[in-house]
Amino acid sequence: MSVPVSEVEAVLDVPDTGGVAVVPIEGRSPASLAWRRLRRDRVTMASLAVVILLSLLAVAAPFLKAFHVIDPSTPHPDLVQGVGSLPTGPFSGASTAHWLGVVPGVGQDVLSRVLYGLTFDFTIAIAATALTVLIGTTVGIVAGYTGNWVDAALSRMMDLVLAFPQLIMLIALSPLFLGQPPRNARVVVYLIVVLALFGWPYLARIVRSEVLSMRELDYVMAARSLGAGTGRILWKELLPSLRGPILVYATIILPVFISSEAALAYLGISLQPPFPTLGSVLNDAVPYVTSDTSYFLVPGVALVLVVLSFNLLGDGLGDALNPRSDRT
Amino acid sequence: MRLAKACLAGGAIAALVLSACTGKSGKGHETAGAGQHGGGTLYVNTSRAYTHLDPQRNYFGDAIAFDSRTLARTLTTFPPAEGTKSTDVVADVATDTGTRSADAKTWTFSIKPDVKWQDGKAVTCADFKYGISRTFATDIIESGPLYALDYLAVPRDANGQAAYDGPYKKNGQAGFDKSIDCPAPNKIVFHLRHPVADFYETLTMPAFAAVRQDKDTGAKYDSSVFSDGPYMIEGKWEPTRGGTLVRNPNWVASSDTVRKAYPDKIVVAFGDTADTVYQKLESDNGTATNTVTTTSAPPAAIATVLGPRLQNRSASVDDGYIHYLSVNVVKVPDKQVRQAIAMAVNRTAYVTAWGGSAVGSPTNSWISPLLKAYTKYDPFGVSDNGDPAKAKAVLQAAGVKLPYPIRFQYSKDNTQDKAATTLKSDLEQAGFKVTLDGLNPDTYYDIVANPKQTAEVTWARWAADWPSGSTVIPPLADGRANISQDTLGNDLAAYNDPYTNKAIDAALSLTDAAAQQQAWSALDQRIVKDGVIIPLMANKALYLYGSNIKGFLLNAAFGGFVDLAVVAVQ
Repeated sequence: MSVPVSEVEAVLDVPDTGGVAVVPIEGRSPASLAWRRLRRDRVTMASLAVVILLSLLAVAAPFLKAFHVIDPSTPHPDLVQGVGSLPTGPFSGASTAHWLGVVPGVGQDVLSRVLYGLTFDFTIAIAATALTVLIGTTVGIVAGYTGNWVDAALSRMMDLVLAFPQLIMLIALSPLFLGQPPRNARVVVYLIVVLALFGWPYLARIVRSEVLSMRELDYVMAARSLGAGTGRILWKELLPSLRGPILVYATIILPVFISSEAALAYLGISLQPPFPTLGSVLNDAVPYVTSDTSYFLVPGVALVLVVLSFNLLGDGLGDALNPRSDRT
Repeated sequence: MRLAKACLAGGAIAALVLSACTGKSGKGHETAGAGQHGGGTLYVNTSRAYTHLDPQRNYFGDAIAFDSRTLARTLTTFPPAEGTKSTDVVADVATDTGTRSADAKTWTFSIKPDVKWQDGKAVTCADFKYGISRTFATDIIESGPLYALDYLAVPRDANGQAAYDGPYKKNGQAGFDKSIDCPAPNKIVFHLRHPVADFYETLTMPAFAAVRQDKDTGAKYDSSVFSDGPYMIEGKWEPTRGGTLVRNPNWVASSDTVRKAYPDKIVVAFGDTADTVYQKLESDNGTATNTVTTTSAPPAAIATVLGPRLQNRSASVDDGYIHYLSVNVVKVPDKQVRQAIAMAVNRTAYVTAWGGSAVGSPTNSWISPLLKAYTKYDPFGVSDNGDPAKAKAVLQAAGVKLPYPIRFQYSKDNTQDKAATTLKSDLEQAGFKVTLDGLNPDTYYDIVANPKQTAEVTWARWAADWPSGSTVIPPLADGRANISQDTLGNDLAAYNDPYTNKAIDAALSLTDAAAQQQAWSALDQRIVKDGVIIPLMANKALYLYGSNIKGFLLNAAFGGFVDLAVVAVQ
């Protein structure tokens, strides 16, 4: 997006006052410049607000459950006595006790399940994203900077992982790692590790190509000629310039992981009931799209909100962090 | 007979004395008149693939109903009729329902003329004898019903098992040959080792159908069943995807008083989810207008199927299946603990989780209310809603450490997750700590029948093979026949009670049918009161069919599945 010329001039133009600075020069870091650009972008700010709100809810849900404010698991069969065990009453049997209605067949509180599911999804998605960033950045920098056979080997490894049929692998490996219940902790670890394992090559490729173009730049040459070691060049000279692309990739991959969780829940790789995940709640709700539409809409809208807000935020961040966006 | 096969998608044929098809079933039926509705293509769109078409391996209700009406005729069969009338066994390939000796140990049948294979050769006694002999080859023809092994007068080995290993290896062939006599090609005489008063009903199972020796392909016979029915397989049958049946040109209509066989072609497709099957049927576009299904309406579709728009294309039936829990007596040896589980469960909530009164009703009896052996009784004096407080008192009296940990295994899907959730909630109120273990439905019964993998409590579903308690109690509760080192067979509770075993032997040898059914009911009550088996729900099936389907009929005797003998397309 463009920034009004006047603002750029305000930053760059130092009025000539005969060598005496009357107006002190306001130094701005790239980060504060990005923040200024971001603030002017209403869509991105709105999605940021939604992301913060959802994150707060996700953090709060376990505490709300501990204090019995929400209850995602207790069945209420008396509330689902309609034909086909649909909730009694309109809007999935919404009431003051169950704001967004109850689950057909079993009568659990839908809002509680979605909130508690959000906690699970955010936990695994954030952890998997962190792991992805760690692996992807490291491999990308090493591959891009060293070139030669290390680059070739790592690049082929990325190709190999990218070529893997992910879902089939996930299903095939699951019995091996998950075993007999109780196994919810194992499911969490499995999802995080496996999502990250298939997520890193994309980031590694981005980082590698950035590093390839940067390693010949003057400041890197200068650092090298001054005797900086490889480690210093990698982590102190190159990494800081990569923050932008990494941050953008992270905000984009996070909602992808959340939708992957939904897909995996459909294939049975999920927490044992009655523990909800966003995916398991949604998968249960999908067949009810005609018979109990509001039950379908709640987890559906929640998932759309999560994915959309993160994606829009990622787009906005990409624009804001790109210094060239001022010059368009 | 392994539970794995019998229970999974539905199991064996339901035996029923149907009190009534439910209200909807009568509506919208138009009886297909002969000739009027002949021709056309009928589509069968079913979620789970028929496990076996091979008659001797066929132990699923849906596949039995299909096989019996299209490819594999039997000596006797259930007629296409509403409600209780369907359980009045009629002659099919045989000229009548047989002649029995006074001791019910010798049964004689004559084969009708004009019953022919798809290549025009006549069906003979030798073909039936060969078909039945395949059941004994349990290493190749695995997973079918094993009544022949128990009933036929084949010499026994040291362990009391039939000393014959089938027509492939032929060890003990001479002994088997004496158990079925062929005095003439069209005469067949069965010699049984103990009285079987209802043997003519046993013969309705495709396991007792004929197979031509020169067309037998052993374990691969599923994909190339050689037909003596009104249809035959066109090309190849794909066990997991389905196939196409076309008319058998050598089938003689006058030889068959049971099957009308109206459609010219039957196309069977497996693999859609139940929800997809019902979405297609609801939309009623394209081939869906000519479609029937053997997949019962999933909970999410029930309200729509019973709604005003689709009501006249829907039908429901009490199909005879009983949902129950088995409490493993090795893992939970304390009778009071088992009884506490039985008292705690809320059957009403369980039925609700499955979709409510449209698809089932709570039951305390292991034997279906549709059977003559059924007696209504109240084992623990608790209501259908269960009594966690009373259960907790019993559990405390047992002197075990609370919370008492149990793992509960069930065949996982969204509906069963909900049912399991309600059971977990009931049991935890009563002082148990429940770990739910939802297993892959495809391998479910293999895992729960494995003594090393099975849990304290397991879920299962069963229907009688023919209208008698003889096909509930002995196959499920006789530890001697079921339990070996590697498997629990159908006896998921690992129940091997000497008194029960003796009572089973006594009941089986009764020639008085009424007394026999009473004996089964007594055993039912004994086992349930021991807390070994916890019956939960008597199942009801609900179906939707396409708008061009005429003469839609659910055959209660065939597990409530659609009866292809009379269904026509417009």
